[in-house]
Amino acid sequence: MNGALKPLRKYIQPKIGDNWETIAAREFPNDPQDKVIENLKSWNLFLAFRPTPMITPSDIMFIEAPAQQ
Amino acid sequence: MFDLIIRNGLICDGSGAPAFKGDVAVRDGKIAALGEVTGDAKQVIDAKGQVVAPGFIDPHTHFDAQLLWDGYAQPSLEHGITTIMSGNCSLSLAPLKAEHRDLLGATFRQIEEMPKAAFDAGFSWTWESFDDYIKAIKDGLGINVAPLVGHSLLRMWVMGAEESRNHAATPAEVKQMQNLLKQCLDAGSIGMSGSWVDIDHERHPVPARLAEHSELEALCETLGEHNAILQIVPEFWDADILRVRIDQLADLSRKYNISTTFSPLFDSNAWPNLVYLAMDRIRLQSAHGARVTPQMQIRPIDLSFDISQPNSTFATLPSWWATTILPVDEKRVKLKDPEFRKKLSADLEHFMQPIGLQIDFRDAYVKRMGKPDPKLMNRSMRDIAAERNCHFAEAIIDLALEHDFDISFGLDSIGHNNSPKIGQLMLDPLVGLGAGDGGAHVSNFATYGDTSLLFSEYVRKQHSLSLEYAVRKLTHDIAVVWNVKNRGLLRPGFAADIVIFDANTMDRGAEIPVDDLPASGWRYVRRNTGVSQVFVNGALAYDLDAGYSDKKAGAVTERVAA
Repeated sequence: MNGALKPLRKYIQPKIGDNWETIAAREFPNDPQDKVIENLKSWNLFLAFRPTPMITPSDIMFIEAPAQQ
Repeated sequence: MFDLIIRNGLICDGSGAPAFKGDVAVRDGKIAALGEVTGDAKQVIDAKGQVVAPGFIDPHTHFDAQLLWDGYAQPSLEHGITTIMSGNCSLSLAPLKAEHRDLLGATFRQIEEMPKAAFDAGFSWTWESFDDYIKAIKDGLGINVAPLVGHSLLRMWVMGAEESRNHAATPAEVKQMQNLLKQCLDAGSIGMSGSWVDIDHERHPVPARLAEHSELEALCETLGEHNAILQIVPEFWDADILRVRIDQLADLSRKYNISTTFSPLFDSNAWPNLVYLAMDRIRLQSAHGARVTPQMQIRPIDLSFDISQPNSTFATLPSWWATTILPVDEKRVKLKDPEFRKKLSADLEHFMQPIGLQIDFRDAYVKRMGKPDPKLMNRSMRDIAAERNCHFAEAIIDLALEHDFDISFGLDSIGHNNSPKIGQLMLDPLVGLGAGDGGAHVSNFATYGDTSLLFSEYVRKQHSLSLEYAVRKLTHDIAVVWNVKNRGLLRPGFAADIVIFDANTMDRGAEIPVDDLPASGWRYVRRNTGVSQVFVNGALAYDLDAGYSDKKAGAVTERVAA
């Protein structure tokens, strides 16, 4: 991929049936899971607080913090 | 001998080239000559002092149902629109098996805010296939239609209702979806629509959202084989997510050689540089060969709400949403309960609008009453609450109770309302116009008149766009992005879709309720000033004095060949 077109922020797209726990275990297997889930939610407020809690395979879930503004 | 000559007009041919005085001749539904036309015609119109332009194209509508009882998609035609794209946001009305009609109907009505009674009285479900839906609308069309097929519908057809809403597709099911999409494209679909955000009447993601990216890729492969477009609605309020979506669309565009478009490009007051961040990404991706066209809405955001039924204003206010769906008798009791009123008041006071709209319910005003009371109409909740010495939320509740829920409240220009900024963005050749939502949200706000507003606000008032460029943005640019064949320009051989209008008076009217939905339903519309005549495929479709014609000259548009 052309360097200029690299994603601006690392993300994944969930698998069907995923939830915060399964994503945390898959993406950050060596880190404390409670803390990972807390981080994931804070980096993905839209997913954490939307009216429908279901996580779908077409969602974008960031796996790193937003860039400093 | 021509069928029609329009003489002495100021011709804006849709290309953006300087306007010139001249004539347009029409024969057999097509533009036959342009410039200084000699010869006779069965009908001659003097357009002196008026603009003659290609009919406008509205790329984001939900007229799928309305076309079954109103083939003119009123009031679009009177705003100069001669072609509409239906089936946006993953939701068309075909292909659809009979056993899925209730589910799709409820989903469509919830997302697009349409009354069930209009569906029930307005048409009969006579089709299952996309081809048969086209047959159901074709003879009644007074406007041209470029119908999208919804990704959610493809999933429901192949996987069934529940599977499509809860599961990933198997490779065999994806293959079936590709074949079904091909059938729809062969039957006249302009492309496929999707959604990354919509939820249905049960607050469940629409089927398209359950697709893995590989499924979307497979369908885009089919789109590419047919030179068909992908439309999608992304998380438009969040710059980080939106830029990922732009990257995804760009990758799909390059990989499968397709045109992609998303709607809306929204100027968020909560994130003022969001539109610039998005456009920077689009510029970068375009420089690398991608075709990603954002659709910017022309009008600012207006909302309406009432307590009689669920509506999008309350989508992020669970206590109010839950109240709207209560049976009427129970609703009356609950709304008189002091504790419940206190909770509703607190929720309204601490309301957070995640997409950056500037909502202050104190500014809500009485917009519509079943029995209009001049002492209340147009007065704000701030004013009425002060007079009654109550909380502004209680003013809303009490007015609803006193008028048996037949009262609506308005909130005007609460977002996407920085005209100088939006006008500058419209100048960007990479920014498309659209996202108008015609035919949807019928009792929430008027989704009509954006084309007229472009001339009054952005050509005459803001001086953001020239007349010629404004016409181009509404015609040729959209036709190119959507691969619409032989429309969008005044050129010999192109379809004679023509609008004649006064550039000095072209405008949208005030938002008004009209009782023209089936089953005595009502909706908000805006009328036009400035358009004198509209022709569809050479036939007069709308005349300022005579109104809508009874000619049914509309067609399902053709795609440019792959």
